[in-house]
Amino acid sequence: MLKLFQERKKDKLANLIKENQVTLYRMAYSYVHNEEAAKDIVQDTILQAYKKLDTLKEDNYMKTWLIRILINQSLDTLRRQKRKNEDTLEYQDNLSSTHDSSFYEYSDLYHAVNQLDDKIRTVIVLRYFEEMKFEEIAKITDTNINTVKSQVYKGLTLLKENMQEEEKWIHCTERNRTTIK
Amino acid sequence: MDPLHRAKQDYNQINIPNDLDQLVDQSIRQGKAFHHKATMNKGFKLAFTACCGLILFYFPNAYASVNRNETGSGIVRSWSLSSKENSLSVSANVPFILNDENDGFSDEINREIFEIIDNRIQLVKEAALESYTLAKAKAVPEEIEEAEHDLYIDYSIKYESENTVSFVITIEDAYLSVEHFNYYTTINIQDKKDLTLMDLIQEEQLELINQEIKNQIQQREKEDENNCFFHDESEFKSIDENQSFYINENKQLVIVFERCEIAPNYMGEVEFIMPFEIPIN
Repeated sequence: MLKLFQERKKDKLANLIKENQVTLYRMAYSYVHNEEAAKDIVQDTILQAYKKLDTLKEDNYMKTWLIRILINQSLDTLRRQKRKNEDTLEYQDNLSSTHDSSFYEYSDLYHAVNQLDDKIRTVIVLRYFEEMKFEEIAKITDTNINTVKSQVYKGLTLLKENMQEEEKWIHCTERNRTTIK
Repeated sequence: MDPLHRAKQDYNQINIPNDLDQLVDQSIRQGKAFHHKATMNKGFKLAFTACCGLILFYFPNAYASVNRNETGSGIVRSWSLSSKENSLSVSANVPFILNDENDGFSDEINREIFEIIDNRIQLVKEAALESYTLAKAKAVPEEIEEAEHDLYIDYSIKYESENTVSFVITIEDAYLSVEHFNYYTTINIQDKKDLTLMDLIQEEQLELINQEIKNQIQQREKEDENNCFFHDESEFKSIDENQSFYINENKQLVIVFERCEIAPNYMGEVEFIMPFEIPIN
């Protein structure tokens, strides 16, 4: 019976990973800006998830739990890259550059998001790029909703300052979403 | 356009590698196998209720038609087995503990070994059948050939004395790339006991070992920038009673961590030799 339960849980995780593999890759890439490193993160995340599967008490939180593992793996990779100080120039170039294989022109705001510190960038990516609810982000980042809201607001303020743009864009953004209250 | 909406479009433009699908499938298979191994390890120390019969009794009928050559000396002997079935080839050198006194102990250990191996064979068999069926449906000869799994099972004795034997069973599943699994076992022959790490060390040595591992991690990272260990929530904190270990030929305790346990996948399985001899007997 226990074995059957475990098998179902493993299959459920497999389905969830398959459904979200693009999200997982994009999120990983948004941290490291390198295809091979992002693929390594996705791979390590999947292995970690299976290893820790027994610690997941509620299946309903499987997705937020999985993304949390991915973020931890991504941040750990970044820390290692920084610590090794390897290819520093390449790393910084990658952060401010576009993709390795396309000539797509990225907006200034997208670049500005990439310049935010890891914690703030995480909530901005989850909120505006992955369109997650504050509640979900709070679960993923292991904080409370109010902290997430203030981090998002701080991020938007920083982006505004970085962009040195008109005030209207930030109001426009949040008015459309009517989320930060 | 809302600037963040435009930035989201940029985010969605991130190129998705062509091999992502394959990478994810492979990682899921690997992950399932890891989870399976962890579950088996937890159960490894559980006592079995009944005394078991002959070693071959434990082998499934599907593998009964294989070559059986008993080899080896000392208390650990092995059966050499090979089989080929559709897209799965198995080549195995399966260890077993010699049963001179016809006691339940060696039967118990042998049954555990065979359960581990048989479970692995069944898992790979399912995966092989799945990849073979998929490839066959596509009817591309190259893909059918690539869908074949080769399973290699072997063991090596790390330490052997009159009273103690420490060995590792290695299972390799070669399919696209090679997946590698190691199972470590240390047995006290005299006491007829499958030893855990806590049987070998004193409670007060635990912190000493933890500190030694932390020092070695630090040193390895310092010595070579390619040596990386986790420094997030998966960072090494402490060994536990289910810790994998073996005893090496110098009677030193070697602590083993599985792939991805305390270091990224590319670091593979990591070992830490404790710089002291342990009183094995």
